[in-house]
Amino acid sequence: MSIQRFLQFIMASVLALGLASCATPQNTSGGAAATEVSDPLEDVNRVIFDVNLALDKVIVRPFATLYAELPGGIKDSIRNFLRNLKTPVILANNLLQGDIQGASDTVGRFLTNTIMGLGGLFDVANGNGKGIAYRPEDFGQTLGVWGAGGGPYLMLPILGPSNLRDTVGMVPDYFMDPVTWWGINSDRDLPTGIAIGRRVLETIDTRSRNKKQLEDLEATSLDFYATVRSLYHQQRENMIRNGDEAEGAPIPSVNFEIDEDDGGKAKAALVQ
Amino acid sequence: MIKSTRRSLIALITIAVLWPNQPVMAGESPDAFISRLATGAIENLTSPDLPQEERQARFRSMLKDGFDLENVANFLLGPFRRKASEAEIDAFRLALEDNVVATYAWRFASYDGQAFSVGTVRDGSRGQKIVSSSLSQSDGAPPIVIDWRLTPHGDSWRIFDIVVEGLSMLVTQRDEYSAVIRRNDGKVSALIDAIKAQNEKLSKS
Repeated sequence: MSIQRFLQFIMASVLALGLASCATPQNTSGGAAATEVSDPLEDVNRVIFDVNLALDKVIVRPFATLYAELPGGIKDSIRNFLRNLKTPVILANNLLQGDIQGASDTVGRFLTNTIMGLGGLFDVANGNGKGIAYRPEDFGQTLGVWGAGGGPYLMLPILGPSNLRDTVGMVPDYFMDPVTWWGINSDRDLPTGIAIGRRVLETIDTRSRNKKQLEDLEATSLDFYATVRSLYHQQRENMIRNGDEAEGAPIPSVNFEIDEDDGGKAKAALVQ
Repeated sequence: MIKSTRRSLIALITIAVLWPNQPVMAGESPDAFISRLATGAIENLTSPDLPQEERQARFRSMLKDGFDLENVANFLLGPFRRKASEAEIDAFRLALEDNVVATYAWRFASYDGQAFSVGTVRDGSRGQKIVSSSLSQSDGAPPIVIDWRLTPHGDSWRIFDIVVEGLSMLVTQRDEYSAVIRRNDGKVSALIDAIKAQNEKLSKS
């Protein structure tokens, strides 16, 4: 493997998801996971999280701040274009999930936005939020639809929050991407450049859009690591269900029982 | 034939008259409750000239009337509640209330006329109702979907959880709090101290 190939692989997979991805809003509604996240590697994860935050402050955030200065229309077109490029991966995962409606939406969006949206620069298919909304799919979600749990929570270096299932899912996604195959079959640097540039731009765009929310979240969190972990888990569960209603947080009922250690005094106990 | 129809009609009327009145579940419908709260918040909290203390005081009184703070506090402490003393649970509730006020009251100052619309109501578990709503955004981004999970309270409702774009504030907060407690040898008092310290910090900023 040439150094170029190696770099291509590392960069492409490493930048696939940024720290900011944890706060990407999804247009979904519904309950939330009532169980806590399994995190056997918490000590290591916390160290990596701190490193990621430091890297974010020095590298990603300055670029995201610059990027934020661009006019809104240009930023939207950049995002629309990047989303349109993801069509093959999303479509493959729609099909692997047996989601025919999702697959037809993906194809419909691609054709509409490529032809009428000038190569994907405009999200005509979703016109004013009333049409077919962008709904990303990835192999981690596909595994989730197939019944796989998240497994242990993982904080990946640079990449940010993940879990075993979603990390494994990155590999098939990488090979489902036509740009990967173009790069493998080409001697030129162009596909590599495109692949890397695309991921970098995605990260900066997402980070820039979530700048305020992330800073807010960090400032008001007692334990930012735990907050991000919880949000990542909830968001992924939501995406796997495609926003369908889940049985959310149960209401705790307070029942009274006799606690022997307490001198027989009735004590309220929490039942979840 | 006619006779039997009439007889069953009489039977039906008798049943209808004698049947005990269906208890009125709630005087106020869940969506009307959310509308009322939203209107109240926009009227009372969003004026940009409102002094900080006044905004906080008004928000606090809305919080006490509209939120199911007792069940929320119980849920947030989860299994650790059993290990906490009554005094600690009371202190936790107070610190939590202060924290919600310090974290959210000032945000209403940046309200800029975004449209808030209440949508459908659906049943949650254990008598809860879930009211969906959406808040338009000023920058032309798609509206934010907010679900309100309500618990019955007298002839009205109380907010138990707010789910923003599928992310439950209650679950997020519980996960965060339990992480703090766990990292302090299961001591609820450590969480209370941490919340108080944060309240202090937020009040200065």
